[in-house]
Amino acid sequence: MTTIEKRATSDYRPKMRPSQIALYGFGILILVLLGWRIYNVVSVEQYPIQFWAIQSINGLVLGSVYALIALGYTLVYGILFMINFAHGEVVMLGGFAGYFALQLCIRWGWVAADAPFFQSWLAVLFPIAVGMIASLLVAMALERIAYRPLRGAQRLIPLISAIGASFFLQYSALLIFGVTPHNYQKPAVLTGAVSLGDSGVFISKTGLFIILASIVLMLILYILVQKTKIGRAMRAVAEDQEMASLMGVDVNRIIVFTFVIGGLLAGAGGVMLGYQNTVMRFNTGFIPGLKAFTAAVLGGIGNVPGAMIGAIILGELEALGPSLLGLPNEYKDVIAFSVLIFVLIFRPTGILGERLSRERA
Amino acid sequence: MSIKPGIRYGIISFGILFYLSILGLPLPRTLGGFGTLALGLFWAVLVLISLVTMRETDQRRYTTIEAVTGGLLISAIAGFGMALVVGLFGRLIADGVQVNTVFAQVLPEWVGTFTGQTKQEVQAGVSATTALLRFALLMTSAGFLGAIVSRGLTHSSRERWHDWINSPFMYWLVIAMPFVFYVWYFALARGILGATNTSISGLVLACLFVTAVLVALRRVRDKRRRLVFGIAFVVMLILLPQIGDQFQNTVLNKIAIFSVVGIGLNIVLGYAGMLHLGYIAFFAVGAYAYGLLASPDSYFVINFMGGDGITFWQGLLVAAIVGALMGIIFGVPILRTRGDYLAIVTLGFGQITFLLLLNLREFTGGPGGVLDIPPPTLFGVDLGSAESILYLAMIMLAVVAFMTLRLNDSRIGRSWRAMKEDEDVAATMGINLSTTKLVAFAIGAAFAAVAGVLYATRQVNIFPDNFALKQSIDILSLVIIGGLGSIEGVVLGAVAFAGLPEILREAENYRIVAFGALLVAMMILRPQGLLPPLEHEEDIDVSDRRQDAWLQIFDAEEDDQDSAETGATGTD
Amino acid sequence: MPLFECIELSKAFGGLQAVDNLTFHVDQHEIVSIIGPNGAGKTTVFNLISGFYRPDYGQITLDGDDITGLPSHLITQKGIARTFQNVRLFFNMSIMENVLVGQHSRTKGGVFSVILRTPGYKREQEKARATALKQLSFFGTRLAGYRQNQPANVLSYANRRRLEIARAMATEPKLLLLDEPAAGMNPKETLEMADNIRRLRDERGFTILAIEHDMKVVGGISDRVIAMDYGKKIAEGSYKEVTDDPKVIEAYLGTQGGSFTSK
Ligand SMILES: Nc1ncnc2c1ncn2[C@@H]1O[C@H](COP(=O)(O)OP(=O)(O)OP(=O)(O)O)[C@@H](O)[C@H]1O
Ligand SMILES: [Mg+2]
Repeated sequence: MTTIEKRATSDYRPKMRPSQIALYGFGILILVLLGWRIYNVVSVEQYPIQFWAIQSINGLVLGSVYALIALGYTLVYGILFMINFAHGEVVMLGGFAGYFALQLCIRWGWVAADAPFFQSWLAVLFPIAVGMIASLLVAMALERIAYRPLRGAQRLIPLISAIGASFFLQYSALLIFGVTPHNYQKPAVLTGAVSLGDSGVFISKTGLFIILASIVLMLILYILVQKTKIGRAMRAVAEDQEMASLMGVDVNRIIVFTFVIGGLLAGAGGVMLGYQNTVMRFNTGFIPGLKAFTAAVLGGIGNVPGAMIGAIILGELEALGPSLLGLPNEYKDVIAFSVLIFVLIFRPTGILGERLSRERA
Repeated sequence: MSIKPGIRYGIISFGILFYLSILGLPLPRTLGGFGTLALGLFWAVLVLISLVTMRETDQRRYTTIEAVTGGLLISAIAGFGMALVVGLFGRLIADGVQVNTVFAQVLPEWVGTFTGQTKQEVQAGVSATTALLRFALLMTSAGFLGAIVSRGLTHSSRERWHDWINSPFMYWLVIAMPFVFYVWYFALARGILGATNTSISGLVLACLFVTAVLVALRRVRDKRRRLVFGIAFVVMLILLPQIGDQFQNTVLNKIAIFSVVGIGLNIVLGYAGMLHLGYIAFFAVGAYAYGLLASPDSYFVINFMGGDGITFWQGLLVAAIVGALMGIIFGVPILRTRGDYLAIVTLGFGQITFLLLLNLREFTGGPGGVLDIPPPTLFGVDLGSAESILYLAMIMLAVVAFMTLRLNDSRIGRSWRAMKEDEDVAATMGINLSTTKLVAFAIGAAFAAVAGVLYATRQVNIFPDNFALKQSIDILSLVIIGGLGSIEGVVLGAVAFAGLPEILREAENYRIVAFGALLVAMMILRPQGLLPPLEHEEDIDVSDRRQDAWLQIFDAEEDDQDSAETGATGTD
Repeated sequence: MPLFECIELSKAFGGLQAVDNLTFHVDQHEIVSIIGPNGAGKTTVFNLISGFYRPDYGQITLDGDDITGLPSHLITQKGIARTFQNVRLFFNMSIMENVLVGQHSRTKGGVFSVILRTPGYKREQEKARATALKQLSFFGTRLAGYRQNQPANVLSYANRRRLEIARAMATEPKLLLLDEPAAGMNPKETLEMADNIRRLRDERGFTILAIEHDMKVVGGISDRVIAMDYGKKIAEGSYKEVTDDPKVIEAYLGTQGGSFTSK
C-alpha cells in the first residue's frame, strides 16, 4: 500500500502554523524588550540590594493575601464553572466585620500598647474569626440568593448576576457603613518590624503575621481538600458533577461547602487587608478581588496550587514591577493586568491550567 | 397549613425591611406625610407577593383562614420585629452608644421616623412604646389587607388579566400612550397646565413618551399600521427637542448618546456573545481622541497642530477609525480566550485604559481632564446647545440603529449569532472566528467611539472619572436589562440608566444598589431582558410550537405502526 | 489518488490513546462507515479531521492537499463538512438561517456591502437563499412542514438531525462526515435516513464518511466498513468481511461482557 512507502520517507509530526510562529515570535520580542528595559533600569538606577529584598517581601505579603482570596475564586470556579464576581465584596464585608470586632477589642483594652501579650494576640485573632464568620454568612447568602436559582442557565447569566450582586453589596456597604473610612488600629503585637539579622532588611510584624497566617490557613485547606471525606467529595464534584451525584454525593451540599470555605478564607483575607492597609472602605475589596481573580486565572483557574502560585507572582509583580521598569508606582495595576493579558495570550488556561473546554463534541 | 411558610416569609420580609432601613430608606422620611401610609401599602404588596408565592409552592389555593393566618403571621413577625429593632436602637442611642459607627444611617432621626419623635426626644430616651406598637399594628393590618386581596386573586384572575392585556382595548391604549404623554409633555412645557416647576416632571413625561413609543411599536405587528404609527412617532421625535427646555434636552441627549454606546455593546455582547467588561474604554477613546485633538489647551493641539484643533466632523471620522483600530488591537490578544476569561481580560483592558488616562498626565491631562472641548459647528453655526446636540444624537442613533439592523440580518450578523450559540460549530460552518470577532469588536468600538465624540462636546470638559468601571457596568446593565440583542431594549435601558439618575439625582448610591439588585432579579426572573428581540417573544413561538407538537403526534403514530410492522415481519 | 486520506493519525488525552496510528482513505463517490464500540475513538477521528483537535502525529489530506492542523473554518472551506453525534444546531436561529450559515464560506459580502445592500450582495444573498431551499427540500416534506423562519428549537429530534445534514450540505463539501446520523431515530426514520444517505451520494454526488452503530444502516449504505477499537483500526473491508472478522466480534462481545468501559 502507498502508506507503507510513505512511512519510510515522511515524518508526520504536525508542523507549526505560520500564525503560531508569528505569535511566539511576538512574545519573544516583547520578552526581549522587557529584559532590555529592566537591564537598563537596574544598571542605571542602582537601588541597593536591600531595597529589592524589602520590596520582594512586600510582594510576598501582598501575594499571601491575594492567595487567600484567589482560592475562593478558584474553588468556586472548579465546581460551578462560574466567576464569583462578588467575591471581592465578601472579602470587604469580612473586613468590616473584623473592623467592628476590633472596635470591641479596643473597648476592652486589648489593642492598647500596654495590653498583655495574650490579650494582644486575642485582639488579632478575634477580628479574624469574626470576619471569617461574617464572610462565610455572606458567601452562603450569595450562593443561595444570587447563584443557586441560576444553576444550569447559560454561562453568562450567573456571571451577570454576580456582577449585580457585587455592586449591590459594594454600595450597600457604602450606605450602611457610611463614607467615612474605617481605620484599623493594629494591636501591639502587630506594630513594629522585625529586622533580619544585620543585613538592613526588615519585615513589618503585620507582614510576617500575614504570611504565616496565610500559610497556616492554606495548609488547613489543603488537608481539608486532600484528606477529609468532604474534600474528596468536593474533588469528585469538580471532576464530574454528574458522575459524583450518581455516586451518591450530595452536590448541593458540596457547592455550599465550597462557598463556605471560600468565604472563610475571604474573611481572613479581608481582615488581613485591613491590618495591612489600616483602612477599610466600601470598595476596599473590589480591586484586590479583581487582582486575586487575576491571580487565579494566571495560575490556571480551578487549580488550587495554581491560585497560590499566581497570587505570589502577582504580588511580586506589583511590588517589584514598577521599580524594575522604572515607572511610577501608579502603574502597578497596569503592569498586573498587562501580565494577565500576556499570559492568557500564550496560555489561555493559565500557568498550571489544564482541562481545555471539555464540552467539545 | 400556612403557619410554617408564614413564619419563613415573615422572617424574610423582616430581613428585607430591616435591610432597607439600615440602607437609610425609612420610607416615612422620604415620603413625608404620606410616608406611613405608603409604607403600609408597600407592606401589603410585599405580603401579597409572599402569600401568592407560598400558595404556588404549596400548589394549592389557600382557604380564607389560611390566607389570613399566613398574612398576619408574615406581617406581624416583620412589623413587630421592626418595632423591636427600632426600639432597641432607640434604647442604645439613648444610652449614648454610637450606633452610627456601625450603621451609619441609624441616627436619632432614623428612630424618629418610625416613632414620630424628634431627635432630642430620642436622645433623651422618651418612651416610644405606644408609637412602636402603633407602627407594628399598622403593618399587621396592612398584612391583613394583603391577605384578603390574595384570597381574591385566583388562577382564573390571572388568565383574565392575560386576556385583558391582550384585549383590543389594551392594544389601542398602548398605542395611544405615546400620544398622551407627548401632548401632556407639550402642554406642561408651554405652561398650559399652569404649573411652575416643570423641568423634572416634564423630563419624566419625555422619558415615558420614549418608553411608550418602544412598547407601542412592539405591540403593533401589522405591517401597514406599523408604518403609519412609525412615521407618526418619527415626526413626534423630530419635534421633541423643540418642546423641552435646556435641562430636559440635556438629559434626553445623554439618553440618545448612551443608546448609541449600548447598541455598540449590543453588537459585541448581544449578537456576538462576548462579555466585554471594558467596553467603556472605547467610549473614552472616542471622547479623548476628539478632546485631545480639538481642545485648544491640549498637549497635541498646542505642540503639533499649531493651536488649531480639528472640527467635530473630523473628530467623528477620527474617532470611528481610532475606535475601530482600538477594537481590533484590544481584540487580537483575546481571540483565543472565551467566556469568563474574556470578561476578566476585557475588564483588565478597561482598567488599563482608565489608569492610563489618569496617569499619563502630560498627554491626557491626568485627573484634570481635557477642558474647553469645542462645540460642533456647521457653516459657522454653533451647534453646541442641548437642543442641537440632541438632534445630532438622534441622527447618530438612527444611523447606528439602521446599520445594526442591516448587519444583523445579513451574512455577518448570522455569523455573529452562530458564533454566540456555538463557537466550534460556527467554525465548522466555515466561519473564521477571528475575523468575525474582530469585526464585531471593531464595529462595536467604532460606535462607542463616535458616541464618545458627541459626549465630549456635550460635556465640554471630560475627566477620567467619566469613564471608570462604574460606567462600564452601567452600560452593561442597560443592555442586559433592556434586552440583549434588541435595539428597542437598549434604548429603554438607556432611558432607565441615563434618564433616571437625572430624575433621582440625590439617590445616586441607592440607584446603584437598586440596579445591582435588579440585575440579580432579572437574571433569575427574566434573563432575556425587558424588551428582548422579537424572535424570543413568547407569543410568537406558541403557535409554532403547537404546529410542531401536532407533527410530533403525527410522527408518534407513524412510529407505532412501524414498530408493529417490524415486530411482525421478522427478527435479526 | 484517494479523495481523502488519514495517515498514521494519533491523538492521546492524558494517558488515554483515543486514536492510535490510524490509517485509512476514502475514495471519490464512496460511502465508508466507521463502526466500533463506545469510546473506540470514532468521534475523536472526526474531531481531528474537522480541526477541533490537533493530532499528536499523522497527516490528513483532502484532494492531495495537506489539511493537518488547519483551523476548522479553513477545513470547511477546503470541502469537509460534518454533523455531530449530539445534534448541535444554532437553536435560537431560524431553520432558514441555520442553513444560510452553512453558506457562509461560499458567500463574500463584507461590512460595507451589507450596510449599503449593494446589488452584488443582494444577488449573492438570493443565490444563497436558493441553495438553502434546495438543501432543505432534499428531505422532501420532512422539513417543509415547518415555517422556515421559526427557531430551530421547535423541531422534533429527527428533524433536527435532518436540518443538521442540510446545514452541512449547504457548505458545499466534497466530503461529508456524519456522526451517527440515525442515532435516536425510530426504525422507520432510520430506514429513511439510510435511504437519504444513499441519495446524498447518488443524487448530490457527495462522498460520505459515516459513523454508525445501527448495523442495518451500515450494511445498507456502506461500500466499505472500518472497524475501530481502542483507537486502532481492527478491520477494514466490505460489510460482510468486517462483521465476520473475529476481532470485531470480540470487540463487540467484550463491550457486552462489561470489560470495556470508557470511563
Ligand atoms: N476532549 C477529551 N478529553 C479527554 N478525553 C476525551 C476527550 N474526547 C474524547 N475523549 C475520550 O476518548 C475516548 C474516545 O472517545 P470518542 O468520543 O471518540 O468515542 P466514540 O467512539 O465516538 O464513542 P461513542 O460511540 O460513545 O460515540 C473516550 O474514552 C473518551 O472519554
Ligand atoms: Mg462518538
